[in-house]
Amino acid sequence: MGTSSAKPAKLLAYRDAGIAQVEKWEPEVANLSTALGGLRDALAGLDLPEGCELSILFEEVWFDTLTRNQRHLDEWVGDVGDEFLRASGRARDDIGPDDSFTVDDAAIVVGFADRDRAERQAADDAAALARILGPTGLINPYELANDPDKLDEMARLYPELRDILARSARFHADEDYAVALVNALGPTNVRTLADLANTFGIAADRGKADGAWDGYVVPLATLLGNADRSGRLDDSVRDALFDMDAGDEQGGEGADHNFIIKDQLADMRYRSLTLLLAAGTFSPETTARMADTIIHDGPLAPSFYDYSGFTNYQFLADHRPLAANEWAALDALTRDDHAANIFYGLHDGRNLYLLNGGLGADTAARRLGVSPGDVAGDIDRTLADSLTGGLQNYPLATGTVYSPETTRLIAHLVEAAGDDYVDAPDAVRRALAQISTPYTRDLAVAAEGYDRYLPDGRLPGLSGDEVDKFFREVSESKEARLVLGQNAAALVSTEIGASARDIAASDPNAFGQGSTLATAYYRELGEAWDHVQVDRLAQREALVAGWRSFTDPVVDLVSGKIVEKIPVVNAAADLPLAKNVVDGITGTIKDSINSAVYDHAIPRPELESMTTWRDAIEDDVEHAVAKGLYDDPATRQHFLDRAAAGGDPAYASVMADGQVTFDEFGRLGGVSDAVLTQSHRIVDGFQSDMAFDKMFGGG
Amino acid sequence: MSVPKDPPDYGYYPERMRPVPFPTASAQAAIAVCDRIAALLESDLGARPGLVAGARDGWEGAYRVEFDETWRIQEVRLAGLKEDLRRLSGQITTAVNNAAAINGQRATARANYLAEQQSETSGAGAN
Repeated sequence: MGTSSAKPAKLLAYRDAGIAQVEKWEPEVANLSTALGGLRDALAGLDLPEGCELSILFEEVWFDTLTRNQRHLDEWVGDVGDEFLRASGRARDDIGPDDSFTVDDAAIVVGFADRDRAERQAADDAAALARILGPTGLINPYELANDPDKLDEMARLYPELRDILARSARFHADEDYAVALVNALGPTNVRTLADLANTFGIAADRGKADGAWDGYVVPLATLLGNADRSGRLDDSVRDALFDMDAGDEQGGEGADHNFIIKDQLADMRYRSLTLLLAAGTFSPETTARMADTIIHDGPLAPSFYDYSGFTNYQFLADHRPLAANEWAALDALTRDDHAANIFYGLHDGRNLYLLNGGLGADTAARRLGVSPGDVAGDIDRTLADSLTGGLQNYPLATGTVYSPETTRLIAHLVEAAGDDYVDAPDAVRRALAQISTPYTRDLAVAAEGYDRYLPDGRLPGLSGDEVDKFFREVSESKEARLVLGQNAAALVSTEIGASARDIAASDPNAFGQGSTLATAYYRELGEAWDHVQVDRLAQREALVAGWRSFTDPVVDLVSGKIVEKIPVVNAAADLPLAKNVVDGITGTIKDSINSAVYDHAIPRPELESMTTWRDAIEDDVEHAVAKGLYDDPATRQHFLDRAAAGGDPAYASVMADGQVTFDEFGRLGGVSDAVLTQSHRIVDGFQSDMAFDKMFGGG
Repeated sequence: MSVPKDPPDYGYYPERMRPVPFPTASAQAAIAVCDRIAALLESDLGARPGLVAGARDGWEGAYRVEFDETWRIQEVRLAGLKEDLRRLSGQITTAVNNAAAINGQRATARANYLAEQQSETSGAGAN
């Protein structure tokens, strides 16, 4: 083969524009099918006179074929562009539209441009695989223990299968090829191939199938994942992956065996499912279902002997989550926020009760040769990441933060976190506090209970008692307390912003609603923190650090304005763009929390010197009021007009350059009066209403 | 002799005068979809040369050859489909029009037939 040159940006631009056209054709395929099918049905059996007779050819089938061909071709061009980038070691963001690259043809690994040709190849490869496969991919545990030749016999299949899969790896990005191949194989062969993933793992652990992870499991999982994501995988084939009972298969290893053997065979299948999930990229729905099956139905701890493949120490050093099936399942969810979102909504929210963490820690510890405590932290962080991805990042990226589905899920999460049986690890508590940020106001509404002057909360059915229990559970973590402290400060700030015009108008009740909500939120926090025996200084620290560290993104989350700052997702292709923005927002918040907790802790003497709310937060509240008045163009102009009309001596210098900065604005007499008056009212309100009296009641 | 009922009892008339039971609504729905897709293909195929030229800019080698060959066939097929849909739409339209024309003639024939029948009935009564 020779060399190829291309401008990858142009190929990718072609792909995007071409697919945009195809996406307009695709719904029309169904419309044409309905219209022509309807006409054919209506004409059936009619005896029409000459000139009225019609023969309706199946144009919809041809249109469907050509639409699929076009999508295939356009995606293929994009694959070629991606391969040019990969072979050149460049990223898409990193190249200009006219940057040209020349690479060896062999470095470009793509399938065929022509869909028919890809599908013919798939049929050939399916036939080649089927010829090699025997009736089962499982190995009987008894034979595994007593007849080493049996494992050798199975392991001998590996090189042949590896070679076919290596050929199919050329089609790693081709969903049409993958689904044609997998559907042609059918459920029995796919089940056998899946079983072999674990069997080869056992062989690899014993030195009989070196390289079987990269040579077998990864390409097989890639094929299955591509087929699944095509949306055209036969249900029977997908269901075969979830068939954990080998006892009902003719000629299979599970037939006629006792229940212990059957359980061991099932353990093998749960491990196979785990290996495929870890190595492939399935659709969000299938990923969620796989994780759910593994976590809920899989063995609590594999039986002794352990018939799980790829569990040797050297392998696990590079694939730590595979040390336990549950951990690997959670890890897969962290790679797909949509899947995590589906997972936590399954079965009426039962997965929300996994908050205790430590899933699979005993098994992972045994395989990694460490204590469960050493590995539990890693697993808990994975769980926390899956929660944040599914319940915060995905709704943010898709603009569904306040959709009925999401708010129902969040209300359920609050309820689950407060469940008597939940004792979450700190990583999960912090995640819970962060997930609650966009619903801070709703938690305050629920905490306050019925108040005809307050708007309805968006978290359906949530009671003050459940909010209290949620805060108790979450507040045992220092980081989570800081997050709640930030949320509270952002809530006050948001409410001040909403009241800016009333404050400017010197309305004595300007902060009425804000005061009620903020007081309710702080009161719940205070009661929860007292209940879980957070000491006085730690309470002060969280509350004051919250005021000192909260950032604009937190205010945007609490106020709901965040929704306007994230690109609207109209198609799956837009999701990465929105996700990048969300990652930026959540990253900023994460940095602010870490910085407040680890880099800028408030010195103990300073904390001890604070004996009133005024000592603690008055400066911050003054800043928030001034900012609220400055940020609203109407109130800003109001104070400028007042200063001009009243002959404020500061006005001339402030407006010398025709603009007013935030600092200059604060120097205007009317502003400083309004700020002092309102901030005193707010702090006095906290001072008199709050259950934090002990917090600021002395050193 | 009985008289036609309301709604019309076409069984009253000789078969050659009865309306042609042509599914006009289904036919018109099919015409609309065929025309819409043909227009969509025409517009998108019109834009494709620009897209293809963009992709081909600086693209050389075996994969470019594979693309050219695949696109050449695909373009011909899509253009053919567009023409087929237009032709099918035209055929259905013709059938709709023919059915309407025949039904118009048959309506006239029925009116005449009815008038004749009524005339005969009243004539017989006068005798």
